Amino acid sequence: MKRKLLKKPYLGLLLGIGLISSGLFGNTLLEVKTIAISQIIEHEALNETYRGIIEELEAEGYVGDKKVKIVYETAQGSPLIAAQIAQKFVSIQPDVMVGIGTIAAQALVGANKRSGKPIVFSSVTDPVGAQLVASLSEPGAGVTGVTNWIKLEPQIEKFQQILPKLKRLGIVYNPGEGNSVILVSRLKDTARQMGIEITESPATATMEVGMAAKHIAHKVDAFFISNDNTVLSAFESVVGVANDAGIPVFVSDINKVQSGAVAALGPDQYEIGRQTGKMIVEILKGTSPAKMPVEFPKKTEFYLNLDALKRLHIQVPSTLLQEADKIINNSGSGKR
Amino acid sequence: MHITQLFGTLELGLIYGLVTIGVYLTSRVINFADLTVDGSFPLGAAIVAASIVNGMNPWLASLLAFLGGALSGSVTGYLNVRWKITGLLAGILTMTALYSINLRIMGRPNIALLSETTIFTEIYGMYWVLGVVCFIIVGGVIYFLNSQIGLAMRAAGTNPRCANAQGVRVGWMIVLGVALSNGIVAFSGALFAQAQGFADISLGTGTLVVGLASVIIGEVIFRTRRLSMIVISCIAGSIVYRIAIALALNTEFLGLKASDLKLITAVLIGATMILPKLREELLIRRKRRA
Repeated sequence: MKRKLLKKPYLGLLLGIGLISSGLFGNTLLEVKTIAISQIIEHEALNETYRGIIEELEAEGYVGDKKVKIVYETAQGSPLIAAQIAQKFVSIQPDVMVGIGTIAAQALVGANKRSGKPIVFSSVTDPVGAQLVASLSEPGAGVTGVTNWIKLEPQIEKFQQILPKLKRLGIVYNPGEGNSVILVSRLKDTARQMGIEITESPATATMEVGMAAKHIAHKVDAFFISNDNTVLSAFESVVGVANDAGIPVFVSDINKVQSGAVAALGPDQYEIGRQTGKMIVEILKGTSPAKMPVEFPKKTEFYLNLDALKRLHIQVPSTLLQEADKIINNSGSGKR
Repeated sequence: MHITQLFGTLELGLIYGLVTIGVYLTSRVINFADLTVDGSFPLGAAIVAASIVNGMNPWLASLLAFLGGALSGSVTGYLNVRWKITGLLAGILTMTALYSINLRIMGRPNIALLSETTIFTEIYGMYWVLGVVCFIIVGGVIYFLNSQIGLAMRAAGTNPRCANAQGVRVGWMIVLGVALSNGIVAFSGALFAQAQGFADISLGTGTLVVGLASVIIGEVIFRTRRLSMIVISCIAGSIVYRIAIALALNTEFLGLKASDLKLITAVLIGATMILPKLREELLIRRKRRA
């Protein structure tokens, strides 16, 4: 008897909260569009993508409680929570589901098998390898989106223009991140054809990044950091090592030029979000995602950091200065 | 919470219920704080994903995952028993090694199974398969713990000296216990990968924490000393944990942000632990007054 009494409070609590929350999703009005966005982790670049999506939706008139309901969750880096978020999304039957990051998108596709709502992914490097789409040009099922993959040749060309003696490029990356692994394998081929040798140094956690960089600093002419979440989180430690060794750091993430990188040619994550937003709007208007090819970043930005270049005594041709979309120059007068 | 979300929560609760049983075997039965599970859970996912992608039968692949997990567990047990490395450190060593091994097995950090045949894509339907598999494992573990070897293992955990005096080979029992535990954990990793459609190197982070929390929740809810009920309480504890997260995901009406999720989960689980105690104290106070 006593045991039974003890059990009751949970049931009451759970049922109570359950009922409250179910009431919230029961009343989906016809004209209100629901967009459910799952993001794998809170991270500067991905947050920018999210901001881009929201602002594009607002620009298209999807603004205010009567027009659109946005459900936004982040999985705090855990695939397990990403799976639970996906299940919640499938249960509320939104008009479009959005997955920012590979695992978030995979979890949505996995849970969605039973419902068939359209899914748009964003900032996924290899959508075919992740089995999100059958092919880039013809996604096939109800899934499409924007990849953050940009060509490697133009990036390396820019690095060579800045540092003509560049022969050995060091890359620090996390072998546990799918995006980085595929990038490194493609980078090796591309770089070899362009006469550059790649030296890799793995770091499986943020605290290992500095050591990993130090490990190869004396063997390379420059560092290249791609869109690796682990290394970008500890980016300052790479810059520190590079400054000690007197070599430049190149990045793919334009937001990191401010943090001490010499230059970046990369996608604007915010623009990737805007592009994703456009696809969402098209689907809301009735286009089938199966017929929408996967999009690549339309715009790449070129950022230069004059402060860092001066510190390393590197002179860049004036044509590069003109090409730059943004120049960081706190120590002297510069453009913009 | 909608019914589909509830079912999804149950699905994850059952899968992690097996992790909880594995953690129960080490933490409670043989008194061994085993961190290997943080590596053996993704190990199971890795084995099953790599095998299925290479065309293996998914049931056979899941069995292989179990064996892989058992092998990794026995390495931890061996390090502890033969070389007297503390259980905690032995687990950390195996877990650390497994990170690289898992990457080797998969060849890349993430393998998708979204368009592959898994044990859940066959005709029976997901919940049936999952329910039957969990039933078999729960039954098997209860049967095992009541068998001769199982009793010896429990004795070795409760009082190693006494068990030794009774002729139980305590060292062997520890190795066997850790192996069995990690076999079950790896198997549930295999189930997770097949249910969710992908295996990822980051799957393991926090497995032990989730498992231990679920063991304790189960204990508080069921408050039983009957072995069969304790094993079942592991599953229940895991489901309650998942429901807490599912509820935490439904709290945006309180004006909470997405990043508050873990805080809410902690509060809900904390409440689950405090409430029965509170109730008990209130009852006692009322009795005194009367």
